[in-house]
Amino acid sequence: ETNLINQASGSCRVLLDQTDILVGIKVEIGQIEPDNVNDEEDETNLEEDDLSRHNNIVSTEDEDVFGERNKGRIVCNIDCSPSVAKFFEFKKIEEICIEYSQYMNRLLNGKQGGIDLQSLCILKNSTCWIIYIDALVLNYGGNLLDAIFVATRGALQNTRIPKCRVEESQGIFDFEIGDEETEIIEGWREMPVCVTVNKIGNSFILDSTPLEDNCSEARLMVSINRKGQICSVQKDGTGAIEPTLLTEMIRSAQTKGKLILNNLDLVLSNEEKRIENLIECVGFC
Amino acid sequence: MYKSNIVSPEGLRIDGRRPTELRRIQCKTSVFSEADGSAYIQQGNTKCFATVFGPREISRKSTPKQEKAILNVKFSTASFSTGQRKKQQKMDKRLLELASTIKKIFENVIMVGQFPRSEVDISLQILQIDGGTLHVAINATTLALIDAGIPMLDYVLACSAGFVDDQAILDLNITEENADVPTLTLALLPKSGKVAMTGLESRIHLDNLEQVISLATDGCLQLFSFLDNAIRDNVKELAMKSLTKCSQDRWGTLGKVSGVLMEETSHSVTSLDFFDVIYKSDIVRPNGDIRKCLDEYIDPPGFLISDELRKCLAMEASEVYPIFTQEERKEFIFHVFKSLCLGGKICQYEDNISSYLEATKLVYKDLISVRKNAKTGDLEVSSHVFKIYGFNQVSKSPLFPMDHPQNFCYLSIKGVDGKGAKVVDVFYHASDTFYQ
Repeated sequence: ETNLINQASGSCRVLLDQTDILVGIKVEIGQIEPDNVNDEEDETNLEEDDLSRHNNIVSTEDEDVFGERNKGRIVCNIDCSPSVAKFFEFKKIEEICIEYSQYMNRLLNGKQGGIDLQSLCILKNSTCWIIYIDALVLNYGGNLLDAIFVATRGALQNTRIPKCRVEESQGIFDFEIGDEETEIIEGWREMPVCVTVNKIGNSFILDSTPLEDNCSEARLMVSINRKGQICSVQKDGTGAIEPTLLTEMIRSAQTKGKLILNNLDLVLSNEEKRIENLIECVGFC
Repeated sequence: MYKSNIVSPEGLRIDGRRPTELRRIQCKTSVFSEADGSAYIQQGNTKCFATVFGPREISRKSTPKQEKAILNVKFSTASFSTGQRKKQQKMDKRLLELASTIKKIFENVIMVGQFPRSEVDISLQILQIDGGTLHVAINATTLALIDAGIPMLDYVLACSAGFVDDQAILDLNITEENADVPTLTLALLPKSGKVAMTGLESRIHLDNLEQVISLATDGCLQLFSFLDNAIRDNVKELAMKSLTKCSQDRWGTLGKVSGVLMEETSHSVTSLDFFDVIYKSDIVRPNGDIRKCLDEYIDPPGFLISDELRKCLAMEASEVYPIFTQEERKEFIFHVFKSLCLGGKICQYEDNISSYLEATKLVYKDLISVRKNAKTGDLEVSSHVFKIYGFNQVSKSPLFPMDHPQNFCYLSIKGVDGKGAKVVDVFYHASDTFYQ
């Protein structure tokens, strides 16, 4: 369900069996940072089938043709509500939160994230919109990261940025933020979803429950976008994965990811209609 | 925001409320399955979750064990809860202070003496702040503790009140709080009327203080009636859910039934010769012992088939099934025989078929009456047997509490054709989930 929190620019709540995630997005004006914290390594964009074609790497240049910095940024943060403390030790919770936050940060701040960061720029080299994505885990029931991504995508669809007018007078640029007009975040549709594949024994499972999470030796977090392209792959866990199994896992994640995206987009368009028709949401009650 | 704008000349506040009106409240308990107790409350636009774990064993071994339960309160606000995004700091002093206030309040209300050497963990999560963080959190805590079943002396309800323009106003929202209106937060134990906590962070004239306190008390009592009803409704809902989930038995009176769905069974059999086919077949040995077979299990009804007789009665695909023709299976005596043989969940099967045949004979003779046909001299069945399987309209309770092939309801009516009193015998069995 979207549009639950009035104070936030966009919000979405996802219930995946017992996993309960609430994502709130706030957009604020900030400085374009001189040091690029986000684009150190390129995340290569892999074409659908041919892995050997990766000499086609599109480098995520942060500067445009004139060497000016013109991108906004996205800051992700994941927090766990105290009811999650029942499942994990305190330190483990912190680790999980930091790891997932970093994963999302890396994914979304680049071409693979789908979101048009250049459209977030207000004044080159100085100000831009910063999108703060705050995910709150209200209850844990397995498969956290997938649910967080689904909720983030929903919240992005729901987010409205105030329209900004840039004026020039005597060579000095200034901007004015509109009060009423808002626009959507460009490129939210291209945002990928994550499919977590858990390796147990010699095979793998998708959408794990808490018990299955505990049993898994290794975990692969694969992000798939609308076109079926793999946007990022990260391996977690202490075990090792055989190469053949690895390809199988990624392929399986790819198929499932596209399915999830299609269904999610259907639900989100229904949500939009509900909001347009001013029907009240179920909310938390 | 000027103070004079808080209450308009018509007596309405910014959000259209009257000065002594509470904001709209919505609440729900048992929102998280994993917690011992949980609650969600929304007053106006302030949204708060409370989760309670406990009483449970003390997790930190360093804590000295006391002869009463220890309360741990954790207070956190979401980063998107305020107008400006604020990254939550772990050691935020304001949050720690709020947590400690709540701890002090509830330490006196919860019967901590009943749980020595244990702890109760209360966690509060604020999703959206629109004024009144502390009092909404206190209300949420009360609900969650009740949901967890932790014994308390009384409810603890809290409300805020302020004073502006010579009027006391109730339940301030964030704009009113930010406009330097003196705000008094009050926590009340409704039954005894005692004040558990009170806090004022601004200047107010002593003459006006009494008015504000009484308004806040009034607000708390309003909250009490609302939340009490909400809790009772929630408990009823939980009870209904658990009742319908664990047992589908819906026994009850049928109420007035005006029409039944029925079919007449064939009842032409007058002797046990009907079952002679069994003796000729492979189902029984010459002395009447039933032949056993490998165990098979037919799942939806839950029949364990371990001998040939039951195979013949229940498994359509088996070779022994055609021993009885479809016509024969429609006979009432066959129904009786089949029901007795298949039995219920804890049926202990007989080894010899004679016991089943005896029982069938007794039941059958009891239910039907025979007479001699004047013309042929043969015995024939004079009663009519009807099988009831439903009603024309919806009855108060269903005919059978659950769906099962061993359900049956037969009405045997004697004396339909002749004169004299009609006698109706009911032969009814319903499987229920008790043995499931």
